[in-house]
Parts: sequence; structure tokens; C-alpha cells
Amino acid sequence: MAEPIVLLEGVAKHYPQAGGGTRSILEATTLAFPAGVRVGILGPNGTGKSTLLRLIAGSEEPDSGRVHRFGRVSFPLGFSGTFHPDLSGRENLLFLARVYGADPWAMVAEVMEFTELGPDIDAPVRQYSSGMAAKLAFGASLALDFDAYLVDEATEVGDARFRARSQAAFQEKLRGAALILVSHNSHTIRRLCECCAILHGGRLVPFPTVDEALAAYADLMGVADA
Amino acid sequence: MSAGDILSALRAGARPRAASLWQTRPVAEPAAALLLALLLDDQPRAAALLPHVTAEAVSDAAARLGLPAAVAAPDFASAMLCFAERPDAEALRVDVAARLLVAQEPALGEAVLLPAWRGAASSVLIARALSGTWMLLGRPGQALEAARIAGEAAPQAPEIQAHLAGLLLQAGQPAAALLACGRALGADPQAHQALRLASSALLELGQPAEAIATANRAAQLAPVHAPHAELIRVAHAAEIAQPRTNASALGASAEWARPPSRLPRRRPPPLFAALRARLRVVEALLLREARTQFSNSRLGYAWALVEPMSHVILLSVVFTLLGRDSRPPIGDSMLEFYMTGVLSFLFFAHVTERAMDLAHANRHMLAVPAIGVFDLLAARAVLSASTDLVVAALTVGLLIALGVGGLPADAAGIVSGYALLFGLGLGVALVNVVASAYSTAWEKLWPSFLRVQYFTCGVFYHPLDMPEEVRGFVLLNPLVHVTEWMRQAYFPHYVSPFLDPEYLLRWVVVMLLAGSLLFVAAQRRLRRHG
Repeated sequence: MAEPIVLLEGVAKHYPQAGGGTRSILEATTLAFPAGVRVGILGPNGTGKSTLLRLIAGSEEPDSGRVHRFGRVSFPLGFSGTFHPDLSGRENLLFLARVYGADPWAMVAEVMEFTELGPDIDAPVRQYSSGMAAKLAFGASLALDFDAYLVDEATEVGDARFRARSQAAFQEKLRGAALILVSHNSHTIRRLCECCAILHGGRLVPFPTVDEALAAYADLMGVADA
Repeated sequence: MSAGDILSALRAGARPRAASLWQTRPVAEPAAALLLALLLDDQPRAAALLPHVTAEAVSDAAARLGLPAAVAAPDFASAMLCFAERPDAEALRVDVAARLLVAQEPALGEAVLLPAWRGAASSVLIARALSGTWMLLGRPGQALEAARIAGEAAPQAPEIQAHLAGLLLQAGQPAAALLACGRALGADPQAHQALRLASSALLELGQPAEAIATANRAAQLAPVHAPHAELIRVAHAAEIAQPRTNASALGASAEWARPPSRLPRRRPPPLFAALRARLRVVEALLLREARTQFSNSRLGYAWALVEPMSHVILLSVVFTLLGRDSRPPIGDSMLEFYMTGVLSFLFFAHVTERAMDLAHANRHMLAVPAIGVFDLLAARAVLSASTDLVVAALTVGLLIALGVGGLPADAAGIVSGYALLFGLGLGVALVNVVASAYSTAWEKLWPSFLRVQYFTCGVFYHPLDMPEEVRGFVLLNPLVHVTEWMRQAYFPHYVSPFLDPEYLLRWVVVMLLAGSLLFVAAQRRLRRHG
């Protein structure tokens, strides 16, 4: 069995609901994400996939249980929330590079080349279109080295050319690293992942193969639709 | 008989009723009263009764109250007396509780343990003992929670991990149970109870071959487990030859997601590297804050520069209009006197105020796991302090240019004064971060409290001007000592008659300690809030 890169041990998370009561995102779950393996997590919209990803990243604390990380785990990829609107793209990149201990100037050069932002890199981020901000965020996360990349189905940014470029860059980065991808789209999972689990009703259920997971998911959605 | 009533209320788990009976209907007989005082955690009563009670009397009282023979035995009575003598000693408390459990009195055991229960902050011993008690009382949910707390605090203790594993198995979490067993076996490879539980967990996870091997190993180590191993062998040997196919769609399990039976060893980063990583994050935040703190308004920038001067001028105007004596208590000019008070007060006010709402306002940044709430606080406090020091230097320079005052007489005194003040401010800031995460009212309360401080910390008067009765109170305020410290260092021939450096230092140490403890205790909440 492969060494795990992330291990959930009895992790549970609930959110208080408007009008009292709580909604269970995850009920006490124990599950290992193996190192170097691309895992997809399928779930209908609104089941808490993003919360699960934030728990894995460590941006959020579970109500009980523990998340063990055995290497460098990224923040959710393509996340532009850390960007300060008054700072330029370059300054925001320098900030992330300092936080993660990367070479700031090399990182800026790499992202500049990847995103083709040009002189816009020195404009305040508030002036960016949402597409530009997403490009910058995606480039920033790719320029940093992680052992596990967390993706919130946000790889589809920019025009077709940029998408093709980012696909290639992403595949390159993933060589040897683990991927945890959450999505409600089974095509994305089939294209990128080797294993798959389904998140539904607070339960995270792993399947032996992607095909079995997709079949079960189709059943599930069929039932949900009926 | 009231002693009997109190006891039966406790046995029924009706603690409030027992406590109210205890208050309203005194128990005359000292030995019975001591027993009940211990069960109700009435330490003052217990201490008062202790000199009048012997071990034999306790045994007699227990027998008369109808407690089981084990409780009426002499060794139990002496355990009770030891506990009464030192109610803070956890081991003695747990000893008494364990004897009550053995005597089939779990409700009384719970009564003894509960006063020492601190939720997630409970000690390992108490959490483990309560977990067992709750199990006996038929409350598996609470038992599991307590076992988890004990397990988190003692990951290396085989018995505690095995206990946790048993409860996890009961709760239908075989994977988590297997991890706990792995921890127990990592600490002690001979832990046969953990092996037995691991075999049950493996069975539930659909790994019969491993389950049988593990059960056999447990039976080898301790013959008690032989029947268990036999049972598993007989019932599941067939499955190994013919593996089970996937049962239901959402009940599937997969090899890849199975946690290892033993956690990989995590090498903690060397202290120096960890420290450097923290410093790097704080530095990045500091640069970012410095670049953005005034980006919304040039006015904010200008105000930061002139704020102390405006206080000095306003105070002068107001007190001149009020017709106050224009001779300063120290030095040659009222302006100089006010300035020495205003600068240190504002330094403290800024450091503590800017800590408010830190977690919530920066929740986006906290989504980057590498950044912690403490990093945000450290960056902001350092930035606030350095901004204020620059502004202070400019203010002193401006006054000198106007021909008022001069450079501080004792530069080292000023530096150490600011160092102490920074420590005090940081301690209060830590408290404020936590308090503002729990209550939004605190964000309004603290600034009003600061405004009151402005009048009590001696910015515009000298403690000598106070009537003696009032002065006693004023001198309790550590900020008065800060003001005095700064004035003593600034004015050439002034020696403060009131300054108590030791008192101030004690405040700094206590605030830093209290702030850090609160902060650590509230970590989860702060992150969740963000």
C-alpha cells in the first residue's frame, strides 16, 4: 500500500443552519489519500466539496478528528481570495512567494511567462477582470512546489489557448505529486483521476475504480432526479 | 434521613437536587457528611470535617448508608481520606472513582470525576476515567468523546489507544479504530488487547486474511484471546478463498483509501527551520500590511503623523481655557509634560486596538494554511509599534524645533520602557483577539475602556496632584507606572516617587502568559471564525 500524503482520522464537520439545527458536511470519516496518486471526489453541488477541500488544506478546522499531512499540501488551487485588491499582481505574487519560501523573483518570472499578463502585472489587482485574476491565481499555485495539489474544479479558466497551456503545465507539475480534485463533473474526473470517491450526505465513500464510482454516481443522480 | 436522600439523588444522576438538599438539610453525623461533601465536591466542608473523622467512622457511615461492601471496606475509607486531604491531586480523585466503579456505583464515580472534567482541555487521566464511567452508565457518545480527548493528549499510551479503538469499533468506525490500534502497537508491539481489536476492525473493513493473522498473534501473546481467534478463523476462513464482491453501491470500500495500520513517522522540522519559516511568513505579512495600511486614504496617513501632536495641543488649549495652573509638575513646559504621557498611551492604545477582529477581517488570508492567526497578530503589532516609534521621534523632533524640551535624558530607560509597554500591549492584544472572536460587543467595549484609561493613566496630571485616597487606586493601574517610567527617563533630574518597576514587570509577565494561554485554548475557534 502506498504511503499516504493526507490522512483523515475521524474527521467530522457540521455547519449551523439558518433557523437552527446543523447540517452535516462530513460525518466521522477515516480515509487515506495515497502519495503520488490522482484522486477525484465527486459530489452533487452543495454537498460541501469545497469545505472538504478546505479541511484537507488546513484552511478550516474540523469539529472533531484530525487531518494528518505528510508533505507540502497546497491551498485550493486557483484560489484568488488572498490577493489584496490594492496591491499589484507582482506584489501579490511576491507575498505568496515569501510566505511559501520560494524565490520571489523566479516566481514572478515564471508566472509572467505562463499567464502572458505583460505590463498588467504592475496594475492593482482590483482593476483585473475576473478571468485575469483567476489566471494569476492559477499561475501562482503552479509556480509553487507541492507534494499534493488541491483543485476545486477551477482549472477551466481563460480562453481555449490558455486552457490548453494550463492543462499541459498542470500535467507537468503533477508528475510525481498527488492530486485531490473535487468536481460535480464526471468528465473532468475521468480525464484526470486514477481513483475516485463520492461525497454524499456527509459520507465520503471510496470506490475501487473510477468506472465503478462513476456508475454508482450515475445511479445516485438518477435516484436523486426521480 | 437526609444523607440517604442526597445519596439516592446522586445515584439517580440528579446532581442539582442533591446539591440543593445538601445546602438546605444539614447532615449531622461528621463521617457521613464528609462522604457526601466529597461526592458533591464541597471542598471547604470536607476540609472542615476532616480533623473530626477517622477511617473506621467513614467505613461505618458507608455501611449505614447502604453502600456496597467494597465501599465500606477500610482501604476505601483511607483512599477517601487521602482524597479529602488533597482534593487537587488527580490521581487520588481517580483512585476513589475507580473503586466506586469496581463497587458497581458508576453514578457516584461520575460525581467524583465530573468536577475535574474540563472538556477538551481535560487531563488524560480524568478523560480516560470518565470515558470508562460513561461507558458503564450506557452513554457511548460521551464515552467516545472523552476517549478521543484522552487519545489526542496521549498518542503514545497503548492502554488509552486500545480503549479508544474499542469505542470506535462500537461506534461503527473500524478504520479509525484500526489507526488507534496502530498507535497502541507502535508504542508497545506486545499490546494484545490492541491486536484483538485490530483483528475485529480488519474484519469489518473486509480484510479477513489480515484479521485472522492478527487474531492469531493476539492469542499467542495472551491465551484469553484464543477463543476470539478461533471464532474468526472458523467464520471467515472461507472468505479468503472467495473474496466478497462489492455489496451495495454506497457501501463500497477501496484498497487505495485504506489508512495504513501504522502512521508514517513524521519528522518534525528542526526548531531553527520552523522558526525561520514563521519569521518568513510574518515578514511577508509585515511588508504587505505596511504597503496597504494607508492605501485607502492619504488622510489616514497624515492623521497617524499628527495624532500625538493634536492631543498635546488640544490638552493645552482645554486646560488653559479651564484656567489650570500653567506651571508643569515636571520640566519647563506643559507641552513637554503632555507629550511624555500621550506618546506611550497612544502606543499602547494602537497595539491593543489593532488586534481587534483580526481573524475575521483577514479570513481570506487565513484560507492559506501556511498563515496563522498569530502571524497576523505579530505582523500587525510590530508594524503598529514601529509606526508609533517613528511618529514619536518626529513629535519629539518637532517640539525641539519649536524650542520646547529636548532629547530624552536616559535613552536606555526609554528603550526599556517601550519594550515593557510592547510586552504589556501584546499580552492585552492576545486577549483582545480571542475576546473579539467570541463577542462583537468587545470591539466597542475595548475602545471605550481605553478612553477611560486616558483619564486614569496620568497623561495630563501627575499622581502627586491626586488626593491620597484616590492615588492609591490610580497607582494600581500599570499604565500609570508606564507613564512614570517614561517621564523619569525623559526628564533629566526627575525621579518618580511612585514608580514600582517590579509591579509593572509582574503585569507584563501575567498579561503575556494569560494572553498566550487564552490564545492557544481558542486556536480552533479563531481559525473557524476566519
